[in-house]
This record gives sequence, C-alpha cells and structure tokens, in this order.
Amino acid sequence: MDALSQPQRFPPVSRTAIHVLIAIGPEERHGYGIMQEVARITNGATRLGPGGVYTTLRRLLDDGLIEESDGRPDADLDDQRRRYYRLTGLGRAVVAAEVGRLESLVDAARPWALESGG
Amino acid sequence: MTLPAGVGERVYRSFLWLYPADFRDRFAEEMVQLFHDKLRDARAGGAPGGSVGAWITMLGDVAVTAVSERIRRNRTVAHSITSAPPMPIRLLGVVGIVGGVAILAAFLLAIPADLQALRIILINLGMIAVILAAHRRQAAVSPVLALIGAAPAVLANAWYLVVIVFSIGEFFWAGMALWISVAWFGIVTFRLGVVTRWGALAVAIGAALTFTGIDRLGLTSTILGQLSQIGIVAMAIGWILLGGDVATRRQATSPPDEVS
Repeated sequence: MDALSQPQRFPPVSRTAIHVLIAIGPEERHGYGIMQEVARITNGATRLGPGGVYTTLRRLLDDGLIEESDGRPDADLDDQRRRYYRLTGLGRAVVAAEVGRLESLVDAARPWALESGG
Repeated sequence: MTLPAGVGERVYRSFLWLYPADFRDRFAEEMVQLFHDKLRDARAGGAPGGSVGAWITMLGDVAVTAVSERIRRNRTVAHSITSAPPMPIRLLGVVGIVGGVAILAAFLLAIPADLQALRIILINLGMIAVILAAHRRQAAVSPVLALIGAAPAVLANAWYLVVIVFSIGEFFWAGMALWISVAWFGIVTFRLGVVTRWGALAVAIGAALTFTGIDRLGLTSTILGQLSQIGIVAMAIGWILLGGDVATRRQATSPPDEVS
C-alpha cells in the first residue's frame, strides 16, 4: 500500500514545510513567489529567507511532495535563474491529510478554547 | 547597507559557500535571484527596516539554514556509513588480513626463497583490498579526501606488483612510492576516522618507518634503519586491524529518518 493511497500514514511534515506546500497550492511558483505567499497566508507571522525557502524545497523535492516544473509562465519577463515548483499527487494528498489533522484539532479545541479566550 | 546590486549579489553569493556543495550546486543561482528580488523590494520600501534590515535578515537566514543543512547532510552520511558492509567488501577485508599475516609470516617462519615473490604479491593484494574497502566508506564522508588518500596507494601497489611479477622497473623507486603513499593513506584514514583509527595509525607510522629501511637511502645502519623492522610489524598489525574492521563490521544504530 503506497503513501498516495494512504496519505494519513505519511509522517507529519514540519510547520514550515506545510506552509510552503500550501503556498505553492494548485499553481506553479518560484522561490520568491513562495516566500511572499507564505508571508501572506500566515499574516506575516512566518517570513522565510532564501535559505529557509530552498532548504525546505530541497526536502520536499527529496520526499517527492513537489517537483520542478518545465514550464515558464512568461520567459521574456522572467529571469532565467528562476525555477518553478508544483505539488505532486503525493504532495496534494499530504496537504489534504494535514488539513484533516488540523481540522480535528480545531474541532477538539473549538468548544472550550473560543469560550475561554473571549 | 547600500551596496550596488551587482556587488550585493556577489557578497551574498560568497556566503553561500557555507552550504554543502551539492545544495549549493542545485540552488545557489535561485537563491541569488531570490536575494536580488528581496533586496529590490526592500529598497523600494516594501520591507520593514529597508535594505539594512533585509541584509541582516538574509545573512541570519544563511547562518541558521546552512548549519541545519550541514547537520542534515551529516545525518544522511552517518546513515550510509553505519550500514553493514556488503559481502564483497567483507571479502576485501579478509584479503587484507591475509596480506597482513603474510607480512608477519617472515618474522615467524622460514619462508623458502621461491615463495617470497608469492608472499609479496599477497601483501600487495591485501593492501589494495583494504584500501578499496576502506575507500568505499570514506568516500561517503569526504569523496575528494578519500580519493586523494586511496588513489596514490593503489597505484603504488600496482606499480610494485608490476615490478615483482614482470620485473619491469626498479624496486627502489617502486618501494619509495609504495611506503610514502601507504603512509599517506594511513594519515588520511586516521583523519577521516571512518574505519579503525588504531589500524590507520599503525599503518601510517609503520609505513613511514619501513621507508627508512630502504637500503639505498643509507639509513639501515642508523637507529631509523633498526626501527624499520618495528615499522614492518606495526604496518602488518595495522592492515590486519583495518581488514578485520571492514570484514566484521555490523550494522550500527542509525538515526531515525525524518520527513521535511
């Protein structure tokens, strides 16, 4: 039984890794786009530098959760050094599994955490 | 910090040498591009603290992530060198033990003259076997240093074998090359520490002392010449220790795999 058919069996990924996976989302993004998107979806709470972005991308590539895209949205407007990344099927499955985990946590905490937090 | 963009990129690129070479080869250009974009936006007022803040943030980012990347790489290397050697490598270790015993045999037995050539061939093959077996593990830690350590010793042993088997060339030069390169292999092996350091130390010191026993150096009547006999024994023990380490090494406990 492979990880794709049982994504919940895949070990939880790090917080930075899930931020990057969600930042890439259904599109293809380059490093700077990922960095900006992570800052946006976390309301600025997480600001990655180039090292943070690419060490995370390397690990996600190694784990088969993302892949490099051959396509370039507009080669004329883009620096040739840029590379674009997209989620693999496994990457999407892992994001879905991670969202499921987070939902169950939220469901467990919502009845009391929101009350006590005012 | 208001360096021109080209200078800033070169300065940033120089810091990327802190990352492991494979990571740098793969991502350096993209990281410089990202740095360029980030600094451009910071100059345009899009980042808190402006370009100075962006520089500080990105250099801090390099310092932290370069260390983590190196630790991760070392874990990967540790995993590969903690695995048990495959059977062919173990057999090379056994050949190395035989070579070491062949060295010692001259001190323990009266070996007929017509078997001396066979004994020396066994010694050379034993040395080559251990060097190749050790190199496989050493290359996982430092491919370049492992190669620089092993290649001269293998070539010198091959040269010595050619002199023995085909009577081509002079023993003097082949012997010089052999003991110097083997001493160098011992030093490199000791430095890398992947296989037994006691064995490596014995080989390094033993080969250096054996070198002083070469007749044409004129040292045989000195204390160094006398010590060369001790060197030969030390070297034999070193090869046996190295061969034994490779032949009997078991799977070590490896760190758990991590995901991203």
